[in-house]
Amino acid sequence: MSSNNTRLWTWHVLAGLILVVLLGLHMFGMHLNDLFHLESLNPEGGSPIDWANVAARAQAIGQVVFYILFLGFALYHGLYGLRNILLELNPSEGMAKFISRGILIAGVILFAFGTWAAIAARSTALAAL
Amino acid sequence: MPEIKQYPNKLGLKGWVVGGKWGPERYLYTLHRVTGLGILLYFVMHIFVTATRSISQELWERTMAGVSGTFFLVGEYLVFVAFAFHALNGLRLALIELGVLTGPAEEPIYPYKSSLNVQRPYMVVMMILAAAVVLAGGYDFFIATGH
Repeated sequence: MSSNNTRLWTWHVLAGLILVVLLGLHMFGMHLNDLFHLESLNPEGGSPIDWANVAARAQAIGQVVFYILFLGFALYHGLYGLRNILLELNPSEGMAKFISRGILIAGVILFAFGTWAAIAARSTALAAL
Repeated sequence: MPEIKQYPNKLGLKGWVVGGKWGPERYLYTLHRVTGLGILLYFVMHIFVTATRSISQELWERTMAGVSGTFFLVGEYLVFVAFAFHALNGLRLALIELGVLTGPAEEPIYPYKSSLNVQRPYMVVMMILAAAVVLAGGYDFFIATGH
């Protein structure tokens, strides 16, 4: 493994460890809410996807930062894993470059879009107050 | 000088199902990749679906109504199950990779110890934890019906 690949792989492992925490919090807040009653994530009560809860989370700057970090680590971990799987299929050198660049571009676009959505959601939620 | 025939030593997709002598870790390897791809596919869709909250309350509520019902509830639960497995199995893999679960390297002295036997109890513990999270999720999704 080249030093660059070693560095990317190390980040993949570290991003995975960070995601256990970030995605774990997200899953507990969204899907184990009835069991654990995480009121800080669902302050208005009811379902986590009720607009009142969505707006309350969107307004909190900490949640916006959480979403952006979560988005970045999840995209990196997931897309690097996908790249590794595709490169294991023994593509030609040109195809391997195309896959790597295509995945990088897709990741940057998705990150930009998701970041915009997290920031714009805060404005939408604040305007609805 | 005679030409040396090189083998890429990469089995590709075939290696997911016929990788050699199979142990439980081999099944987990395949399952880890399948769940990873499933979660990635869901995650990309999730980015677009949840972005509707940035436009308006009305669009958010209309979108959520469009992805409700038994089909989506079961689908979302399958994603939750994939998450529970992938996260805990991935934690096991990362801790092995970092040497936490295997301890420092030792000089091989007969009778040799298999690192697999050192790791296997952690695999069992992680799978029990994953099963507990899956059951807790099942209660929340289908019995507590908070969705």
